Amino acid sequence: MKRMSLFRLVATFSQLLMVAGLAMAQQANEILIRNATILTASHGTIVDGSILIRDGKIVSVGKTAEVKGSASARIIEAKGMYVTPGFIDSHSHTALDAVNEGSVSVTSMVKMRDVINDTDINIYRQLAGGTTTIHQLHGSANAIGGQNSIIKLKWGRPVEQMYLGDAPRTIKFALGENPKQANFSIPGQPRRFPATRMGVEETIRQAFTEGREYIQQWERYEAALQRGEKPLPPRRDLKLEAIADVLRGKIDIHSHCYRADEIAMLMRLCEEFGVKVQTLQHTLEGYKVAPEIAKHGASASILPDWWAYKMEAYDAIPFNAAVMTRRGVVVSIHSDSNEHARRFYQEAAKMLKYGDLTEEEALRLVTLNPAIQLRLERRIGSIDAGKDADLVLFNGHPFSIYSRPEMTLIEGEVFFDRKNDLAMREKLTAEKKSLIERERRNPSQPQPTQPRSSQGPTISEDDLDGHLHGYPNRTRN
Amino acid sequence: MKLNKSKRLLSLGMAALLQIASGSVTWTGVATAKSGEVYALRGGTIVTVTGEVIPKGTIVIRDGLIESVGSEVKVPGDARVIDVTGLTIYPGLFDSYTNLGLTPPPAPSTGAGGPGQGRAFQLSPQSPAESGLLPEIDVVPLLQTNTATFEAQRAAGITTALTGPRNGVFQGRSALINLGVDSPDKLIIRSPYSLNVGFSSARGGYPNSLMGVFAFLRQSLLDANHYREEWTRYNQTPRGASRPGINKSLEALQPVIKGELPVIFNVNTVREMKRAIALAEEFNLKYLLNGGLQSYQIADFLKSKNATLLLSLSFPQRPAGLEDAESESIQTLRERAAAPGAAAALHRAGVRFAFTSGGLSRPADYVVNAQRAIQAGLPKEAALKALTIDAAVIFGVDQQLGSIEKGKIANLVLTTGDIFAPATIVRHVFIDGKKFDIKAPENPRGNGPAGRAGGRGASDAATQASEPATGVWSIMLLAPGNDVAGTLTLQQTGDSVSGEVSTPFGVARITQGRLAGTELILHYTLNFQGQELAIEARGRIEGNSIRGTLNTNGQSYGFSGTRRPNLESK
Repeated sequence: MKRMSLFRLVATFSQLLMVAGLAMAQQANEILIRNATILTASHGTIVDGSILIRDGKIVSVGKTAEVKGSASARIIEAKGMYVTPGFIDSHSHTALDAVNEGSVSVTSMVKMRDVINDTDINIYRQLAGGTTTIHQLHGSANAIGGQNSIIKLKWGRPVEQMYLGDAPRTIKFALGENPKQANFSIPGQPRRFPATRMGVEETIRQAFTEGREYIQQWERYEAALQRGEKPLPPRRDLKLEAIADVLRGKIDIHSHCYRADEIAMLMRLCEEFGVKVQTLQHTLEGYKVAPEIAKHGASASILPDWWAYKMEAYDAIPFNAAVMTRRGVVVSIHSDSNEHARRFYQEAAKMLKYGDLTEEEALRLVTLNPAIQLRLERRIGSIDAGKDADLVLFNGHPFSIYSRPEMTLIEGEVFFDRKNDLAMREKLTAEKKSLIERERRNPSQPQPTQPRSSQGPTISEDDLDGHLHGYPNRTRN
Repeated sequence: MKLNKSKRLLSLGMAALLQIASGSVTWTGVATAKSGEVYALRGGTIVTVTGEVIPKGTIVIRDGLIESVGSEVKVPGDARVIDVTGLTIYPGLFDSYTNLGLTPPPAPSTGAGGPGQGRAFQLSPQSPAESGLLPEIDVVPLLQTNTATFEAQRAAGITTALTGPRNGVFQGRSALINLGVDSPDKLIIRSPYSLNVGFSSARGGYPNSLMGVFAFLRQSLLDANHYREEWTRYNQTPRGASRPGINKSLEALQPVIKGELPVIFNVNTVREMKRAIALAEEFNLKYLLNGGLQSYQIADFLKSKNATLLLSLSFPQRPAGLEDAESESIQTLRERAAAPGAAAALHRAGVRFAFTSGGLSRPADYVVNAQRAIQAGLPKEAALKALTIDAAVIFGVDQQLGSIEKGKIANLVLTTGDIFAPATIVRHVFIDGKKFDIKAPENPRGNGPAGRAGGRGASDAATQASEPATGVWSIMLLAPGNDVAGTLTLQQTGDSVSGEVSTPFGVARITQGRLAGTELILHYTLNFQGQELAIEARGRIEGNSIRGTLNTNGQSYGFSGTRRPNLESK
């Protein structure tokens, strides 16, 4: 009897193991991209290479002969194609319902995470250009703006699935003409403080000082608790809480800036408070103070070849990226635009011309370097084993003007496939026609509920007829 | 001993004061004795909603209440007998979210303390009294009604409504009222019912953006918690402690953070609903969602959150002045086609909901649109309940309203037949036992599909009469020395107006718009050189022309314009 049950137990156990093994094999969602030219962005180009993806992560990358998947792996035949890491936009305002809380000069309490629009068609458009991760910044209206968010462009998914769970927190700062409201006045509104670059510096110093006092206030409270007293907790202040976290190094500063003098000012000011500037944004005159930027330990995210659109942008040069790179600054190229974010590969290609960056250095400007700036380089930014399988398949070399992305993957999942897109257009055109017809025929008759398909991307008619509406041109935010 | 006692009295007194000031004492008005008119309605078909339909029954009404109901009811000798043979009797309908009976929104008195001033935010100098940031605003003192105020609602069979102020973030506290002709204090059934919250804040000061609104709401709720803690400690040990100040706004938030006073969020899109739910969960608030146009997309999610919806029956309409049908996005078309099916989707998922008119300009369309929800798959019984007993349950007044039962308030609708049938007409309405005879409507709703709900089939003139703002307007902005041309694309739904303002400065979506009589009021925010600029447009519509002013931070510019002809209908 006893032996019997032991036997049963063992039998059940081995059955369980088998089931578990089977389940694992099924779950092991393998994809093998084969016979491609792989631009890794970290360790050169692999001709005739393959990438093995399992459960959304890159398992191995190398020569096709060396990379083997399991029998059940889905094969993507990529002969003649080029694979790059998904592009990372370190300065985006895409998929946001609002950009600036422009009422006051310090708005560290507001969070972009609260206003993400996961149905913004620009997500899909940028995905079609190979962009997979974006840093959604608050605008540049204030010396200290709001807290930013970072999402992956998983079109068709709710925003909860777009967040990177382990992404560091970042905040927007802004210097120069925008926060001092140099180029405009708001009718009827008295000019806001600050109105000069000196005032911008003072605004930040004031906020840091208040933040420091706020930290001390809570430290006194904690100390009293330690002594066994029961003090009233200080009032939680969301504005100062964020500033305090900046001072504690828990929130990274990403600061809009143009001129060399204000760049130097911000780094000096932050050093005074023991804080590092994580990334300078726009940084048009960064080339003038590149060694200083490198010494401070900041990185620079730039507009590659935009200049003279306002006073503080006059001294920009297209060699900025190359000069700073040679001086040891981690440089990235950002879009700050729904449109530029669809062709990062072309923006990077320009940098081969201006300053002779190598192909890999140029590619890093839109892949590994922005990942470093967002402190996500262990997870994204290059094609290396262990990283997220965020990949773009091009029909030619990405730096050729004749090439285009054919397929974009995020975490091993295909979120854009040009073939599917072309097929979808016909269907959507027909659906739209029938919706219009039905309304015309039957103006007030109800239509059956058609829940949006939860699978796969849907596309707005914006794409069908190129009719763009609702997106005002705006200046650099 | 004596000292102790007085101390206790003091703290009791303080507690009571706090409680009264914070409004956590809910005043549930009992139907007051009415004129004493006693009615016996005999021979009608009684749709009780909660029980069986009584084919030929009698309802006796006394002192504003239903004294008895049934097929074998003895008619008292003092009753005025009304033979209602051939009519169908329903409980009075609820409109579960309105701004009825309000005068133009009040400017709060100068110096009113609020989360916008003093304590909660010391961010910048700004006008201390900004409407829309004061949770202590109460709808009851703002009600200004006369015998005609609710006439159109009564004619549509609507006898009870939740009404509340409508501006800003903290819009104010709502009340459930009967739509009778008594003075407002006699109409109130429950007050306050909720604190109403909106996410749009197109104003000069902080917050002037959506993320600012969320930061503002969070800070206010945190401050309310801190305030409670401060006062609790002070009341425990007043001796030797400095006295905290009194803040009306934070007082008003006390029942909210305790989960006693629900918050009604004004939300229509999926992401608005999700944001509201996330905020409510973050602060453990009791909440309802009002609007819910896209709720059908997340019905199961709403069920999983056990959310309650006040679902708008004001369905989006095709813009009347639309020149190019192709110019609308497929998303817009899909949403418009799906809107009437929202109620059915919620019903299938088991989400609790009641209907609202969403400010439909013609109250008669309320029931017509409920019928469209039925045609889109909602069982008829469920539709009737969402207009009556389900609303009563949501508002906690199902002991006195929502069905025809003995002892309930005599709110009744007498119709010529099935309330959802197109040809049916409302003949009489009883509110608090008071009888209203409904005059034959000038524009009866039973005139075929063309006349329904201001649909596109209606003639241009009819659309214009019911939705005077709808259309595409060419406007000229009279800026000093430099006139600027622009376009207003407006869609009126009820008395609310949505759409876009397009000028050389960019295209801005209207965050809040409404039409009061002929006066159009639009709020929108323009991203002007990196700065969010809050703009208010006020204009008067006369036929196809509009004239008014654009106001931003005290500066005004005139504008005028004309409606573009509706080419499609020609």
